Amino acid sequence: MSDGWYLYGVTHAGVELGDAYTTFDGALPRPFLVIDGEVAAITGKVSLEEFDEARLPDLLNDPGWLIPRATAHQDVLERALPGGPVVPFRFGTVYRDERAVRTFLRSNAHELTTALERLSGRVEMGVKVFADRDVLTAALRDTDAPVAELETEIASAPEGRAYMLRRRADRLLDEAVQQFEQECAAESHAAFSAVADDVAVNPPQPAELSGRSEEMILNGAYLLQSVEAINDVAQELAQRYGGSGVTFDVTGPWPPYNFVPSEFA
Amino acid sequence: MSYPERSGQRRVDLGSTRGGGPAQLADVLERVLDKGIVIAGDIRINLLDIELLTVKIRLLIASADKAKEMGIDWWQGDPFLSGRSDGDRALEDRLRRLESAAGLGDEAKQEGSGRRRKGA
Repeated sequence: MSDGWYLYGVTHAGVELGDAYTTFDGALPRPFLVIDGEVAAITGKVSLEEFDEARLPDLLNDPGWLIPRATAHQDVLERALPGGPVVPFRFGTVYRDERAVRTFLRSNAHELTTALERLSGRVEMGVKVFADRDVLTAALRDTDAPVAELETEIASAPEGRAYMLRRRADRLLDEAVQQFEQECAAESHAAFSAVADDVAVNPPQPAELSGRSEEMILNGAYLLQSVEAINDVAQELAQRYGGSGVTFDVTGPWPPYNFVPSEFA
Repeated sequence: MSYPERSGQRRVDLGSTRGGGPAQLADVLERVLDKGIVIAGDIRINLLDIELLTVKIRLLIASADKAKEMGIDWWQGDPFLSGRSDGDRALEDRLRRLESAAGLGDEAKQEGSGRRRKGA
């Protein structure tokens, strides 16, 4: 059975990768470069029997197949990062032969070079902001003025009226929590954006995906020149919001998945 | 520019719930399957074939109530989930059946798009 050419990403032709790829061991093939002019494709040879159009729908739905390969795709691109800018491809780009890879590089040389220049010296960092609803609710119960007023009224009200007021206070508190989360997410995003060259906001991950019991209130990606800058901002925000049960999870540097045009010629 | 050590990115499995493993995996899948350049290779690998991205569907069902409550409606703008083809419609039907079985009703129909972007 013949081989296909799996495309991980594109980088500069002169990139120094050291032993980044000789030590690679993953569920996708060991990568190597196909150089054409100023750009180089990071490719690996896959079995066309495995990457067969008829079989792929089933394989893609098998987490046992998909997850190790998606992770390997990420691993390959991550290993290339220290060498210079990388344009990441989405999982599963396969050509039948080297000539097709070269044709792609040649016909998109200008777009690829432009993208690499834009990404040069920049990294993608991820920031996930979490709010602990219990801590936040407790904090707002003490500090939110309308809620505090109601609490005073409840203390001296007869039982039936106290019940109705309690329900209203709970509703007000829920609203205050949601408003706080929205404002905190917006302010955090603005603060991170201020040190970034480009930004992308992704849908918050639900708890089952995030693996956290807290609410994810911001899932942002930031393209920037300094990892320290974003860590500093995260630290400042963590201090400001720490008492309200808000935490900041910074990840990266990532290959700049969020900062390449998704469609290419 | 520095490249701090990152741990736990590799060799994570979906079943684990400790040490940020699943969190990192979620971040990886979110990027590798949803972002990055798409070109028409010789082999047509259609990520739409992923059953609502395997992971997403589980989450969608588990969290539809919570997401609706928070006004999260990202699946509406998500080609994997918004039903743009026959294949998608089949998936949507399946989703509806699963949701119905989970007692969630027609939660997946939300308005607007969950995606925003600044700059080029």
